Amino acid sequence: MSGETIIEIRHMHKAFGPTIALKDVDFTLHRGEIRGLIGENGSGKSTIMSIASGMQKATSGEMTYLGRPWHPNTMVEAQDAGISMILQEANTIPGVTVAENIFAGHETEFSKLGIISMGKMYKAADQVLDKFGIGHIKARDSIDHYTFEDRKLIEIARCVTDDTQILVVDETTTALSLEGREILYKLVHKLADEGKGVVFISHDMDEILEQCTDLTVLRDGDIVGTLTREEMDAPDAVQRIRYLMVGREIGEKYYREDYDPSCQDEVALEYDHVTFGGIKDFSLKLHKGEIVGLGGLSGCGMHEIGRAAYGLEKLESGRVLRGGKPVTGPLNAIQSGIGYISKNRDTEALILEAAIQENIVLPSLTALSRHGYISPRDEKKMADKEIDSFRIKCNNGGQWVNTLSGGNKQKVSFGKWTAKGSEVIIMDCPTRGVDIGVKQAMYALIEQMKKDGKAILMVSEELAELIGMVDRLIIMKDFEVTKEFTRSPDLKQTDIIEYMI
Amino acid sequence: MKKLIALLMALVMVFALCACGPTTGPGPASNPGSETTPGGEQPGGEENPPAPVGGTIMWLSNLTSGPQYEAAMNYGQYICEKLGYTFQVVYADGANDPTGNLNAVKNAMTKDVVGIIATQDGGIQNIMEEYPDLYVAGFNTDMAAIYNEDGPAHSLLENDHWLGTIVDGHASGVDEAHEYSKVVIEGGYKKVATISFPSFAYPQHEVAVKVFREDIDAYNATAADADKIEVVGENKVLMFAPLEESWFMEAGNSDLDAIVGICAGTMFIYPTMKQAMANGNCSADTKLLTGGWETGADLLADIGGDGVIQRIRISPIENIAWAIVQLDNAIQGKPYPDFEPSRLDSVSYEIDSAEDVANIMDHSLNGTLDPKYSQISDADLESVLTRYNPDATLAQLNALFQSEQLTVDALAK
Amino acid sequence: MTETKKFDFKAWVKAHAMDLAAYGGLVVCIIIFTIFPPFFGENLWSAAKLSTLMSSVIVTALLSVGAVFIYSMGCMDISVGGQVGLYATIIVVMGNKTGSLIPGILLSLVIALVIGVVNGATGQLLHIYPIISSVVFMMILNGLRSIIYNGLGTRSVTLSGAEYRMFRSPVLMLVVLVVEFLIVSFLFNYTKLGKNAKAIGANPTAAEQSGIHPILYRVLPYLVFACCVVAASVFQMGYTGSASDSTGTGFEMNVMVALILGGMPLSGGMRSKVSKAVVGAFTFSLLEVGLPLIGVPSNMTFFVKAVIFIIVVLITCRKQSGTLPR
Repeated sequence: MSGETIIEIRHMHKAFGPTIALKDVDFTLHRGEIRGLIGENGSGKSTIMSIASGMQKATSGEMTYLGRPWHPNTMVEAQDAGISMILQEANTIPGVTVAENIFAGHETEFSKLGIISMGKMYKAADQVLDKFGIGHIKARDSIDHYTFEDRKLIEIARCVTDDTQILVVDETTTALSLEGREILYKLVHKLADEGKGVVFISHDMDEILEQCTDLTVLRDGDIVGTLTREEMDAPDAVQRIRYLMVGREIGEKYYREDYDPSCQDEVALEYDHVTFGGIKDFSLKLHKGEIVGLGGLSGCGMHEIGRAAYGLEKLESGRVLRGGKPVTGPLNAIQSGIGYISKNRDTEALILEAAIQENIVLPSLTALSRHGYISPRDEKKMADKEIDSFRIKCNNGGQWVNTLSGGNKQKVSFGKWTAKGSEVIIMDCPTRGVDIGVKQAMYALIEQMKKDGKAILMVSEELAELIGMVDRLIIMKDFEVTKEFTRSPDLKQTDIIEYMI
Repeated sequence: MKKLIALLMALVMVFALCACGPTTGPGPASNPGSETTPGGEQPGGEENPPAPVGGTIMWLSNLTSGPQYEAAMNYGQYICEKLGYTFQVVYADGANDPTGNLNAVKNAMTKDVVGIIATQDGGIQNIMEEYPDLYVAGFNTDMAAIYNEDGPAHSLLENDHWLGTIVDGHASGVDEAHEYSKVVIEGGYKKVATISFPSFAYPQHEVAVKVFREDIDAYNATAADADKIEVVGENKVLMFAPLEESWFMEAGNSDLDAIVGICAGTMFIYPTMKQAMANGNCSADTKLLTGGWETGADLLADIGGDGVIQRIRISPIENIAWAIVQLDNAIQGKPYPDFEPSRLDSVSYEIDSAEDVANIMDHSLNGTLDPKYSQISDADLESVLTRYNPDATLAQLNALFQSEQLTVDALAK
Repeated sequence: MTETKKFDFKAWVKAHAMDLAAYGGLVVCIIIFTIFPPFFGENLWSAAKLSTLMSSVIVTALLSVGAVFIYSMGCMDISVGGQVGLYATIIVVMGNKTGSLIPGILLSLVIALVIGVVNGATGQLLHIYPIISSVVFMMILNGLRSIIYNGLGTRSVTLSGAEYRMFRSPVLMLVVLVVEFLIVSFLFNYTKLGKNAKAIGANPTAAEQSGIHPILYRVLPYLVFACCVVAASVFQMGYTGSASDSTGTGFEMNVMVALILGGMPLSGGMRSKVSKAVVGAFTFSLLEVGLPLIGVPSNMTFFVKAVIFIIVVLITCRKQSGTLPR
């Protein structure tokens, strides 16, 4: 039964107004396949499967699922028919129990005369959770007690049933820890072994190369290459895939190539015995022209340190100083030349329901206003400059941010602070959900910032990028600094990990 | 499918909204014959009727529903049609706000409006200033704004377009009080309490309550001890909301012989009273003497005899004809020789027995809502309209509307 | 930065559906009330009817234009009606006492600004929805008003001590409305005040992280609104030279209906526009004035207005889908 076609997509075309997302794409998935889908942001990799799973409709083209024409209207319809998609964003219902989340829409299975037996539902839910190897999650608990990662796993447990024929995993692993990923990988392979199909959409090339049986590469709405397992095992596979994705030789240069950790003597930002929450007596001096990295596991307190520099945390004692003056809040931080890029891009860093231009100029309004008047021409000039220099893919500055792809959104949140001319930039997970082409551009930009004498505090969960970019790397564990490394060509991830866990 | 349901729900909302709006009485729209062509009526052509001037008469109504509203609408339409006018209702501001009333009139104003019947006095001076050519007469209102010395519209008494008003009851609280004290004394009630509307709704209430007490005191001065009447507690002022049941738990209120409700007690006192009786907070023998006309079957059955309500005083709906007659005379340019902008008290339409109720429901305009049961006949009207009877006088008109003919007792005959 | 030269009409219509519905509603009203009334011997464009329209629209329009600032932050002010009632009363009473309208207007302005500061700041300081403090004010103001009128022993007060007739001039109404519209539009579109208000409405967290003072820029819009409320109160009072215990009742709803008819999103954000307030207010008043002109009796206008309201809402409040490739 392996090798049989499950779904076949022919001549699929999808346009959003003037923007073309998919151009005449053909795509086939066979039983037993774990198909990787990779491509830059905006390449259309998510769009294909979101159409197949009923989230949106194609402009034209046809689909055949299990030998029959396939036109799903909603995700629920698709899921009932056996196509489940796990999304990048959180998709659980807050404020109710785990069990209610798992059986949302299927409550009638537990009801008698219209009364739902919660006991039965909890029992069934616990069984499901155990089956997926996430028994530490309890069906009776409110879902709000669980972390983003656990909620993602609950979502997986909800999506995948015995009837599932195709599982689509859309950039889910970014949200998962190593453990969570293992659970997901196991599930994916099990499904493949059972003769079902899996589509694995991810940015993480290592992950794709490890887990997938086949790989499809997209660029600008076109399928530009398909690799078999053998091709993926070839020594130059990574270069080849990158080339396919970006459409040009991106060269060896990716991270910084120099290993010179020197910087200016002037202190740009200082943590002076800062204590708050779990953080005790944290001190750090960030100099002009220096990139300091903060690494560790997600809950180690490094994000909070970043927030503290921007005045978003209430300090119990100690101060964060910028130019000798304490930072008290975002407004005061911005005025003293600090910029902050939140890791929660869509909820904190950007106003999604606003134009690119409105987002970029927002922190600079004071600077733009002359006797209270803000000229629309000045605004446009400022925004267009950033759109140009970051190559933000859009029709014009008036386009709404929520229509942009993740990488382009991130460029907008960078643009806010370069437009403002901030001297100190705190970036929390700056490349989260961004793919190689954009990442490379961002690394180049960060390097340029260093050369321009800006001070950068880079909080990241990706060790590779920290090693590749920072002058000094501070590793944290359980709210404490466990080790500090200086930039060196000999620094290896394995040396660092022991201080994190 | 979803769209269909959405559409259906939208329609439900629309209809729900309508239902919340003013009730659909037989509106002017349902009156196909009302597009008037001056002089074109009366096919019989009996004794060369004078060529009348048509147009629309606008009623600025304080009511939007209920039996009194519908009766007034039907009767107003009936007379106006006879006289060659279109009758149009406009809803006055619920709180008699001057701006609200003016806006209501302005928004509904069309070119062919020739006169206004006003049932509220708020902003009357603004309305008449805005439309100086229109004649205005009052109906069911004491027009305190005009007739009080310090009223904001007092100067309108000098305006020849102000035609006067017919009051709902008595313009003076003194007369109102005399009526109630008479009923209490004659009814042999020994322990009574008073309830009234507040000043803003019934400016005369303090006078009425005071005079009522004086009447009772005067009676007690001569009465034997056993016959003396006690007025319990202070007057209770209702802030235009139903009486609270807790009132009956105040000292002396639980075993009254009668409650004197100088207000629309059928609506604001009666329901609470029945509830209090059911809960044992009010003696089952307490009677209600009040005003206001409601046609709920339970309420009607409880009037007279052993019923709770021993007296309801309202004004006959025929009164609207008084205002229309005044308007027509003025519009036709044939005023009464003895014209003055007078304020006329209404006759009392006293309902105190089951027989009265039956008579009203079957044979009166108030009960049947049918103009043919009007206690003022077409001939009566013609006799006071100067277009038919050039010798008619204001005195005649006022006499007609204060005659026995308009009382409940007249129905029995 | 791919400039598309080709004009995509369909996409444009889709993107502007809300505006089209709102403006379209106004245009359709104007057309209908221009074409049909002559058959009934009436004319919307007569001086008398235009002045009626102006006096019917002025208060709602002055309030709605100011309220755009509040609504753009995703807030609402329920105390508008109570405020207008109180200010109109103050202006009349003080006018009779002093013989001039100025002291009453100034006192009203002071009260309005204080209420504005509290309404704007409490939400952020006490972590409650700003609408709640306006509900509190609504109750306080209604209570205050009933105390005042009980004390006066009347239901309405009439201005006799000062001249107010100039406020009945439709020309002055139009001039004031245009001036207010221009000032508010300027503040809303070309200063930090408006831009920040919209940003707060669209995403308060992002706004704060972009350096918008969370209290100051919530308070300032309320102050702009306060000035508009006082302006509206002057015209409300000047219309009949009087105020009553019911003056202003339901105005908060009129404002809301006007803004919805104008296509203003109740959640605030970047789609907020000052012009929507004017469009909505005029549509609302046109219906009020125009329906009797085409023979719709008073007791039917509620029905017709409800139908039109629902049509506009169905078009404007539909969710906009805007997912692009990821």
